[in-house]
Amino acid sequence: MFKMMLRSTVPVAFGYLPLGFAFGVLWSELGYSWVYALLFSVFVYAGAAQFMVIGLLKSGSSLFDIFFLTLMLNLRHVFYGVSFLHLYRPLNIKNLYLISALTDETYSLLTSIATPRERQHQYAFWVSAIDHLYWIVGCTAGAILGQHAKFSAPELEFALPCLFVVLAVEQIRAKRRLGFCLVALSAVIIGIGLGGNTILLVAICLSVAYLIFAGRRERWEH
Amino acid sequence: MGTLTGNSILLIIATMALTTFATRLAPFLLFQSRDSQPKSLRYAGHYLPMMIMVILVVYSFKDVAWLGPRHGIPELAGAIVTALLQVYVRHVLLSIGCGVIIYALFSRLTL
Repeated sequence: MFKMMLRSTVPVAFGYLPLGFAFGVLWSELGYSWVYALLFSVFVYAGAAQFMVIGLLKSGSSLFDIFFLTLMLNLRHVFYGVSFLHLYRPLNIKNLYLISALTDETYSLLTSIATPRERQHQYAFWVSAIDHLYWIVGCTAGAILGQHAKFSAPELEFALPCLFVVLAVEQIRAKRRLGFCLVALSAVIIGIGLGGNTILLVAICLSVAYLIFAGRRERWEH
Repeated sequence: MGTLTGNSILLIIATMALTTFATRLAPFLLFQSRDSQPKSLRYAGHYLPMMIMVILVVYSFKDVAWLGPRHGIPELAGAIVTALLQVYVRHVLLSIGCGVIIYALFSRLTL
């Protein structure tokens, strides 16, 4: 049983170990201790946001910018929990941890495999914890190696846009609706045109507005 | 190198941790069960993540130096390779790894 759970997390390991390692290396290039990379991986546990903050620190952004962009970047997580509303209750410490570990990869993994009802909670816990461990190990190892071996690879920053491309491909593959993608494209172009700090907010608001319009027309059937 | 104090970094980590946790916790505070959410939200929850990912892809390329010496070719090449690999091979690490390698290679070429 445990062996099966472990094997199902291997694809996530293939993603989290190298990507976490890339974050660790990039973090060490900023000149700060590897301990912070460990803390990021334990408490934040959000790959895209972690990569983003490295860029923000380089450009000297304020704490508010970091807060706001993290919020915009992670808004999609609001929709992940809906699939687990029944499983992660009551809101005790263990379930709160499981909620905090709902990342893109873990969410995909947990929603793709059918487990017998009585095993679901145990399975979710071990998969979430193991995925988290992969991320922690990757980030910490990268930061330590980056710091002590003077290992530097600024091209690794490109891993974040690539991750977004991968996630976008998977979303489009699952949902289709290229028309909506065009709307989103237009929304972000408008946002960039307006410039400033609110690009993501403008783009997301325009997209939501269009979804409301389309949803009403389609009577909310998907 | 960096000029932030340890406390500043801890503050950043705490801020990001709480913000991220809040986004993951939100549905559990807002809804009792899957069926108690209105149809409109289910519809939005189905399509909004897809639109947000498209937005994030374009957003992450907004600072590329299109008019610079390389005209964004390394970035475009990397993104296209990643997208094609993900569509046809569907292996996350392969897609991201090859994209980064292509980007690195093209970055070192002088045109």
